[in-house]
Amino acid sequence: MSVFRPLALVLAIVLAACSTPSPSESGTETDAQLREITLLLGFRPDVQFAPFYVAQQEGYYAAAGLEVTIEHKQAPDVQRLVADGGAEFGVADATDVMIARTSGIPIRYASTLYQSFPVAIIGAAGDAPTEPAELEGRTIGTPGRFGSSWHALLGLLESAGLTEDDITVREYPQFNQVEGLVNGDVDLITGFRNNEPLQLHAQGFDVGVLTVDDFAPLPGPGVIVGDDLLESDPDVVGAFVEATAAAQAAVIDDPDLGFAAAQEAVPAVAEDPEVARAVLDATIELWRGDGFDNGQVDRELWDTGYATMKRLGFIDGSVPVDDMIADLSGG
Amino acid sequence: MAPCRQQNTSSSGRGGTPHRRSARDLSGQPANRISPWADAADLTPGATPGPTGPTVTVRMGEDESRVAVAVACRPSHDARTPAPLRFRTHDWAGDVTSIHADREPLAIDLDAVEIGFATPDGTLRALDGVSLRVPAGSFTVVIGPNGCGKSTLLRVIGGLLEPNAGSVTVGGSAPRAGDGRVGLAFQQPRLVPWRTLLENVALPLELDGVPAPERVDRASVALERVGLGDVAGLRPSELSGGMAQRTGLARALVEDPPVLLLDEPFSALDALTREAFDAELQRLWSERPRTIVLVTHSVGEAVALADLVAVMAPRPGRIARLVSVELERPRGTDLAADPQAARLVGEVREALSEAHAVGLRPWAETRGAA
Amino acid sequence: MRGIGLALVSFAVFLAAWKAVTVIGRYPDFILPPPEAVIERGLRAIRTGVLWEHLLTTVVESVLGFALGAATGILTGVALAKSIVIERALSPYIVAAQAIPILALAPLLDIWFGGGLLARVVICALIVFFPVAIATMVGIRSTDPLLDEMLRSLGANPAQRTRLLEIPSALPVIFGGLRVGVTLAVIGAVVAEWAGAATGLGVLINIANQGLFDTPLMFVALASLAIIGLVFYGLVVLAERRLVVR
Repeated sequence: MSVFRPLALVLAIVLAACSTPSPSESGTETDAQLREITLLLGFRPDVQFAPFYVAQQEGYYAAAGLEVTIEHKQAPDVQRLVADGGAEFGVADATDVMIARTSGIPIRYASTLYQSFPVAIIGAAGDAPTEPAELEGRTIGTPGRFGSSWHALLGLLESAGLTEDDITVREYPQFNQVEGLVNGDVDLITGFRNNEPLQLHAQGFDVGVLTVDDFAPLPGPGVIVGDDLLESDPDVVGAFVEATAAAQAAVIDDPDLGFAAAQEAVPAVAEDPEVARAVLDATIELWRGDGFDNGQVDRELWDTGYATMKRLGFIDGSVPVDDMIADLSGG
Repeated sequence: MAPCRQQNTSSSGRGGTPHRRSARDLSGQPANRISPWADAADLTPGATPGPTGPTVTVRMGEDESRVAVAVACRPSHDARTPAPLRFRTHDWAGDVTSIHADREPLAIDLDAVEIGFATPDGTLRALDGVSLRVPAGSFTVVIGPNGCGKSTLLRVIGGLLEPNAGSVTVGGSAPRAGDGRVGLAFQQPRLVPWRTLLENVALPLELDGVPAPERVDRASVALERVGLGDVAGLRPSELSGGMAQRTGLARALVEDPPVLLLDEPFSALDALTREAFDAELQRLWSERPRTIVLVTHSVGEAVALADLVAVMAPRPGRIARLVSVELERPRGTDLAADPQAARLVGEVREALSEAHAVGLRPWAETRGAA
Repeated sequence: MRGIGLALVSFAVFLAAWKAVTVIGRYPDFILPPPEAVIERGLRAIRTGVLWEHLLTTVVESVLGFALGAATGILTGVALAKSIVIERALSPYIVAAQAIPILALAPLLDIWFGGGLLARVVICALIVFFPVAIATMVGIRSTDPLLDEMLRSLGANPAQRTRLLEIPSALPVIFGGLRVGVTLAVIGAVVAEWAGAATGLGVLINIANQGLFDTPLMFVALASLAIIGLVFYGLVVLAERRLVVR
């Protein structure tokens, strides 16, 4: 008899602790004027998020009836929180979205931020491959066997008929594969076109890059939104996407605007403004790609990328592309 | 089979050297034929067994270099057919020429011994010019109030403490803890909790490197001596106070030391048990002569056991009075009936209360120079 | 038998409470999977052999790390207990090192020690070291002075006193430190893997999380770690029962 009393107490405590709001309850409007929105951006404030800072500071969001708060999280928390209603929007890699959605996480890709896929294979100038076949037998440093860098690398290998077994992989869980390239532990590294090459250039290294666009096209990072919000407030989603795209266009036209906004929001910019500016300029190129399309999702690119990911075995195809992309057309 | 017998020959009075590790056979032949359990009774004419057997000195070759020998002699149930003599030796050269008993009781000499301890309040003079001659084989009791230095005195004799001034000798040489000449039993049993009684009693032998079978043998004998032969496998936690105390005593006796020091060994026991143990102690002593120094609080115990009672006083620690007790042995426990005993009890008590009175004076008055 | 029955009942209650939490809180699988999802995922991982490879790596790392950490911990603890000089000289550094999160140091250690199994064993050993060293020091310091005097009176030298008295008397406390240390060894192995490893349950957690977005698989890895910890702890308790005589 006496064992049940403490048991009931434990259960009661457990139940009381389950007081997190269920997804449908999140996002309550406390202010009739502006809808409060939480946006999840990456690890920490960065000059690459300039469109969002501009949208906040220059009133694009306000004009759309939104008050946006930025929080910093990483995958997979970004996907999970957006899916669960802990945040309204986030930025995520398209290839991750494909895997997450197939895994049962109810998020969708709502708009494109990067028209060009940012990941590239980087090596010393003259040593870097110009086509995927040259990857064979090389030692490549990468953060880990996951994420868009890994997807891109495998995609490139596949396009030349190679597999992981044809190269040597070295993992850098601390995301410091640049050091491996500098001290010669690896021949090549995966990295972001607007990041590592600039770092290396600043250190006096000249580099060459191999990008996926010509060989294994994949969609780049974009804004993600949860199924629930999309269903309950498609207008809010549309408004956010539009405002963001408008701000991004403004930055593409006027990089100084973006830089100024970043200076406000990102303390690290002050430490090294030159590098930050260089990163912003390089990032703008990636956003623009062949032509900035106001965030429209490139369905063709998605289909191609999806097929590649399926062939590589990252997804099994049980969830169709349609379920992965937000349909914002229905006004 | 010749009986185990002890030969009371001269001993040079020097302390025996500590036991060594090798176990060898004495067979009148060169030493390199070894068997630890040789029967060498024929080589020890006149040797008689003691509680744990006699120890003998083997003189070897021309220079008669002295060799310490430990002998375990298992007492047989039948007194007429004692067990063979077994022993081990070390460090020899040449053939055995003679064997002599070595373990006679030793005399203790304290000459103006001073010991001081540094304390926050200055130097505490635990022993201040203490001189005492304890004859070999006698039973001396040291009595006194707390802080009179009696436990310190015991530790000096046992080689645990070195005097700041003066000298102490046991059998003519300075005492050294663990050399096997002095056995020490404490007020608490001080048994190692994770060892059986047998392992506890065998501890001194283990420290000397005696091989296991011999250790078991000798420890069993010692336990039998104190009446605990049946419970050798018990752990200290399973014992009563009296049994634990007896075990401590057995450990003190396992190496058959010529000197036995007892620090209030029975004070933690009830009166009747204490009286019984006192009687047993006298019996053990009479069976196997030893020099015994026992510390106690009890006047009755002192007079019942001692040849000589040393009454000590504190601050500084010194011997206040010596009372010679010439009562016949064996002594019963009811001393009140004997007028001579009663007189002695009164004398000791009087000396004791004087010593107590000294102790009650404030520390500052009698403190020696720091 | 009663003990096992009680353990099974409490485990069943735990599973029921877990399920209740997921139902009442309406947690989706990707946030908090219910027990059956984790079990199903675990069986799948076992069938495909994925779990075994990672499990074995972590077990090897933590066993070796525990051995190294415990051995150095005991030796250091003895030294600290017996020498005031050593204690005063060493303990500030030992304590300060303990306060630094090993997660921050692990990448550096990984590089210094060559980035292979040795590096991970060292990182794991560092985590195990402290509780074992402190427990040993405390245990040896609490040696009964009365027994120590008794041994001195028998002429025991310091080495004998350490072997025959101090260490056996300190064993219960040392084993307390070992119990803590062995569970920390599992954590230590995971931390070490996060600094740079290709296999291991820590790596599996990362793969499940960041690569596959497979929360049930992450929980499978966590459950495996818990089971390993339980087994290790049980082994230490068993060893304690055999070695500590009371």
